[in-house]
Amino acid sequence: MANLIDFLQHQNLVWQGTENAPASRQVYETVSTGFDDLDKLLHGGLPSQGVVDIQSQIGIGELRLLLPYLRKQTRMCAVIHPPALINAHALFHQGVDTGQFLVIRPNSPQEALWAAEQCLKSGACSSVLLWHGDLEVHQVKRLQLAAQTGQGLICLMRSCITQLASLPVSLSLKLLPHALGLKVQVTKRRGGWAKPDFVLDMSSNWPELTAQLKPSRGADIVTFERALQQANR
Amino acid sequence: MALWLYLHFPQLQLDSLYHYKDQQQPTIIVAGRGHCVVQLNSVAHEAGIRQGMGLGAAAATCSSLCVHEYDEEQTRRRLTELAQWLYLNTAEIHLSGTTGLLLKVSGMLTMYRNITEYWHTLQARLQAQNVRYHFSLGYSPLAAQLLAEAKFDTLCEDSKQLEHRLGHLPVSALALPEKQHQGLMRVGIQSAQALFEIPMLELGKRFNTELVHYVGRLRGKLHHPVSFYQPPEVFERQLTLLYELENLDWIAKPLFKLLIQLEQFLKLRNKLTKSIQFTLLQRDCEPLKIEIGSAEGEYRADKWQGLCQLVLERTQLVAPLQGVALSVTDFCEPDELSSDLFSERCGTMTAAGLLAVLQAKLGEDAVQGIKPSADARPEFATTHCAPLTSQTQILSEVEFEPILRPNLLLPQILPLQQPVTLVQGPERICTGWWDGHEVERDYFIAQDESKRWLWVFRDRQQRWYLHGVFS
Repeated sequence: MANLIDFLQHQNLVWQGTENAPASRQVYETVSTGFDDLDKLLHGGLPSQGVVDIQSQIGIGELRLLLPYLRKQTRMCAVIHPPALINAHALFHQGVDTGQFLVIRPNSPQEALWAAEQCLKSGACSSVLLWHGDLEVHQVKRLQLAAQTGQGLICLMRSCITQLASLPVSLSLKLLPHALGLKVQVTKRRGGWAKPDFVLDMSSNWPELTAQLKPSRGADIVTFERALQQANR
Repeated sequence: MALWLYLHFPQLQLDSLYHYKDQQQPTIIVAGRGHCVVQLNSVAHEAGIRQGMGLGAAAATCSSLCVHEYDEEQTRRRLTELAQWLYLNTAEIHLSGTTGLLLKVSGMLTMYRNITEYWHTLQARLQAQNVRYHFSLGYSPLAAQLLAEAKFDTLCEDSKQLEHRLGHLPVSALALPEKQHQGLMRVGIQSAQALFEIPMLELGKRFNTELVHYVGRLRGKLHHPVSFYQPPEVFERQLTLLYELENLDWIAKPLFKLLIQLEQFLKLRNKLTKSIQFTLLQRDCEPLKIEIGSAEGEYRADKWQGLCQLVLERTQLVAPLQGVALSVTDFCEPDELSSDLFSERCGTMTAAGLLAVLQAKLGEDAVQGIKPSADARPEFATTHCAPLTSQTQILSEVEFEPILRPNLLLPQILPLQQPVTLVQGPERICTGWWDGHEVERDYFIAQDESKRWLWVFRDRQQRWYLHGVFS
């Protein structure tokens, strides 16, 4: 009997219910970042599960890099130990569903790591954003295992790093400010080679936050109908 | 005539103390102004202590004596617990005083094959509760009670034999006022049998009507109304620890005992609960109340134990612990499984389960959801709410034109201290005059020297502040 099923399975004649989500069998699946150029550079985008290390100073657009990705998630997004308050109003205007957000403010770095592991392991969160300083190799490995269990992605948002040793992460990005958006350095990518530096153009998504030379605002000409519309709103 | 079963519990309070099975200490319970011994365990009995002894005499008899004061309230509570426990097998239970339960048997015999089988079921139930009891059957509530209190302890439903047994009881065993009792003794009526032999009419002539009523009810000739117990839908248990605990790690075992009881309680009713309340009774201090919640309904003792442990890790005791109580008042129905049968389950928990664990460890306030609210002032445009409660709100582009706001807002507005280049602005926000938080600000998007995008504003007095970061 078992042989027969094996044989039929071999011939692809058995339909399996779990085939729709072959989660335990995937190798290195990627999800789109929402930026076509970046997807090309990363051969498909962010890993669908695992640990992504993002080294950047706060306030240059590191969260905006992830927003198109977060917009597409259907499970929860846990935000752990953010450096300031997460502005739901801003997320709302950028088309992100704030109902999926879980903001966690732990009391110590240990608790932050514990919370991240719980969120990942549960399978209830598809993404976890963790602001954290230096991490040990074994801590990252633990997070990686938790991410595999729950099929989630954790982004380590790190600024002012002192350690130099490389961590066992799936993807490591270093972000620097640039006039057009962000300068992205891929320092590590599992199963791929290092890439040259790359400038991510965000001027179409956030024109106000890219340093472009623009005509002064005073010269704006507004049609009468539009002005009325704005006045009525 | 209806058949009744009476269960008499002579030492309820003693039985409900928390004991380690192997090392029992002589324990007594004293009551009243004279501190007479009313309940004592077998070790105390072996040491020579007898019922009715004064506290001084008892303490002189045995040096390592553990003394508790009689607590009527606790006894009554325990009796109600027992009634609730037996309610699963018997529909009609009457709470008689603080020490007895009266069960109406005749109605239940249609469900059980015979009285023996019924009694075995009850016995098995009582076994689990670890209490001492005396029992008797009777054809009137009072007869059953008198026989049980006289330690009849025989399952006999023969009315002749019961009557005979009842007749042997002395008059002093009957619940009569002292005056009445003496009156009977004076005319030479010593036993119940002698009282029964007097015709009712004569009895009425010679004594007052109260005695006639009593005898009539005792013999089942007059109706004896009893009110039956209705179980409430709450779970409340208290455990008195025999030793004071100073370390919260040691509470796990007694706690688990209570949680197991909760599990049985919920399982039998096919219910779940979302929150349980612990009360830690500390010496000379206010009891410490702890509420433990689970966003998902749960009944299993080990799951609750896990959550309790996370909460207890954060708890500090002020004084040594003397007892622990568990109460659950809200119950919920188990919800239907709504997940896809075929999609592969990933992870170990549901969202609600995750939330329960996080809140237990980090505290309720540390885990929150966010939602936008309709307010033009940036600091009020984001409100924190209970997680998983906010509705899905997606911007529909037809209605609104998106406005640019920073993803991160500073918890407090800070004076601007670094040199910045203004990139865009101003955007004037001037509102809030009606509720005391008036703002009048010109907001600018600015970039500082390390190329960070900041959201700064200038107030009416031309002072500059930093309010957000375009992360």
